[in-house]
Amino acid sequence: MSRRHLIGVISEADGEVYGKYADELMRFATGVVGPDDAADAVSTAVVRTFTSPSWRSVTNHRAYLYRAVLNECRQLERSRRRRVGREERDARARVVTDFYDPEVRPDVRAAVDALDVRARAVFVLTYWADLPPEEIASLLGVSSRTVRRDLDAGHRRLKRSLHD
Amino acid sequence: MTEIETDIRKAVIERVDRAPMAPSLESIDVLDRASLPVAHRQPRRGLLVGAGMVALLALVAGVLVTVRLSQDDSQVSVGTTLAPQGKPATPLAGRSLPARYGLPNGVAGYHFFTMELDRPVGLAADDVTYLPTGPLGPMYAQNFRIDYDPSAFGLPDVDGIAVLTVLPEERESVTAAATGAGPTRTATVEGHDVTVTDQWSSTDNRAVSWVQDGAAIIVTGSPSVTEEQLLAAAAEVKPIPSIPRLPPVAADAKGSGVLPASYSLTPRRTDDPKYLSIDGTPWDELTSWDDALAPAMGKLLASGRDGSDHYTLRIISDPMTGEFPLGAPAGVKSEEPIPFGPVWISVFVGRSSPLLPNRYDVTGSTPVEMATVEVTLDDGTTLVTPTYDAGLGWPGRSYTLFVADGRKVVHVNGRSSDGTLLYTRDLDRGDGSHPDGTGGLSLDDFSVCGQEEPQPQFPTLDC
Repeated sequence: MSRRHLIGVISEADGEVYGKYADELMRFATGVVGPDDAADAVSTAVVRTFTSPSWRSVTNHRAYLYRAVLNECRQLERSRRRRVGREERDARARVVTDFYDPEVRPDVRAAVDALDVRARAVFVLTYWADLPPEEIASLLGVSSRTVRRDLDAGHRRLKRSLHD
Repeated sequence: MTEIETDIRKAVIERVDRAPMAPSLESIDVLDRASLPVAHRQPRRGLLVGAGMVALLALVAGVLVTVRLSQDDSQVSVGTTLAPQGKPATPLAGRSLPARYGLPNGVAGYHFFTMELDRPVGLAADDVTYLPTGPLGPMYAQNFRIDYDPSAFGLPDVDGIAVLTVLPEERESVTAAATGAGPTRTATVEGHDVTVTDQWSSTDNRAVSWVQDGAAIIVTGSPSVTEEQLLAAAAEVKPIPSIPRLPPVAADAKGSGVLPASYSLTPRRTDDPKYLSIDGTPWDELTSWDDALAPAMGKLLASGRDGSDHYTLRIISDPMTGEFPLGAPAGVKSEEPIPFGPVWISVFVGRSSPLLPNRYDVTGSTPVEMATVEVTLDDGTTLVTPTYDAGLGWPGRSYTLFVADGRKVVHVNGRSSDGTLLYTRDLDRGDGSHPDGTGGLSLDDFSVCGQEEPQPQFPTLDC
């Protein structure tokens, strides 16, 4: 007979792994999709990771979790893009503006918001975590050339956005 | 660090600093995996990964709308005359291209892939003969140069050349999509006055285009392809009277020379290539790989015959990110552990889409021994589809088929090439019968008939 895989069996070892990386994963997810969706991204990624058949043979837990979180961020972003209309997005932006750092240029903030998910992830790891492209590439499972291209393309888009 | 980089750093740190507390392990532990959003159909995306996709997405960003609209190999219809009720209008409906053009002999020194464009398993003719084409008609990219490196998983790291045949009035927008509308100049190739368009940025393509016999031919190459190489390729372009149907991808796809491939191109406004064409066509929806129409826009992986119905299997890209996550984690490198176990079968029942309201997808992965997957519906009919090797040496195979709405998947069988039953299972609604329209369901199974379980908590199937 068929069955579903119910969670509720996170092992102690997996719990330790989660405890070790939870904070940085949350910050990473927040940088990519924002504070409202970060917890969902991390929770879902962790559930999927810990129930994945390949998880037991993973050696680089940190990289695996980062990729899983990025993957969930993509899905969330895609869903949000469909779900949220322009007006709603604008309204949301207005609401959170009150909490923004006044030292941050609004146009730069908006330009970073407009980056696609992977580019934003690359930007977060570059400017928040101070990681070089090679290390970002290793963490996200892409080539360093991809990272450099994302950075380059992101910078171009930012410059163009700021000049528009 | 430049001033702008300092500003970027501030903006990024501001974002990160707004992180809430991490969810507790206890709150995560009570989550029910089956209740997770349907968008997370990871193994489906796992099967979407292909070396050719890796190669050819480097060509251009976005999605190419391609479909062979006629069973006559020499005819290339642009779209049906009238859109079905509730579907977008087709500005180029009823138009036809006079011919396809390509590089039938390839280019010395490079692998070539011939793309066959046909409908996927389970899609009726009407589902595919109608495609809202917007300002761009279907484009036919027949030949690709693929420097195949299965270890190179980074998408943009493989270069290529593609030949597109489009309507003359589409030439400008297609070229803009490929090149970013870079600077142009003229040249002569084999007696044709051609336009050479440079890439607008380092990540765009270069293109050579001209009009011939009522069709616009666009030869485009990824950034590393030099103008000289591109002009040499353009000189070799010839009409292709028919595109051969390909055999299913061999188990040794790398050695067969037939590679899963994808080509992508997003229609852009010619006056500003930053923006997609705005003409009322819901491109974002249509080209979203997650939607049911996307398979019709996906690329050939294998082909075969289901009774009298010819079919192809396609791999589908994610046009928004250009990424193809493999299994649960995104972008797992091929040398890393992958979520296809040697005795792992998964069945993922997709969801209905308003864009293709009469089909939903059933996808999954299987052990390598499984040659076919047979799905039984609640009306007793069956759909049989071959599994295929995605070509990266994974210890597993994949499958995809489409099921008519209103039908429920009640049983799944998996068989070896000699017909031996390897897997059989009844599905109930909790596993993934017909989705409710808002979400699909899935199950993973580590059981195979008669084999010991790698995971002791899962019993061996009694077949």
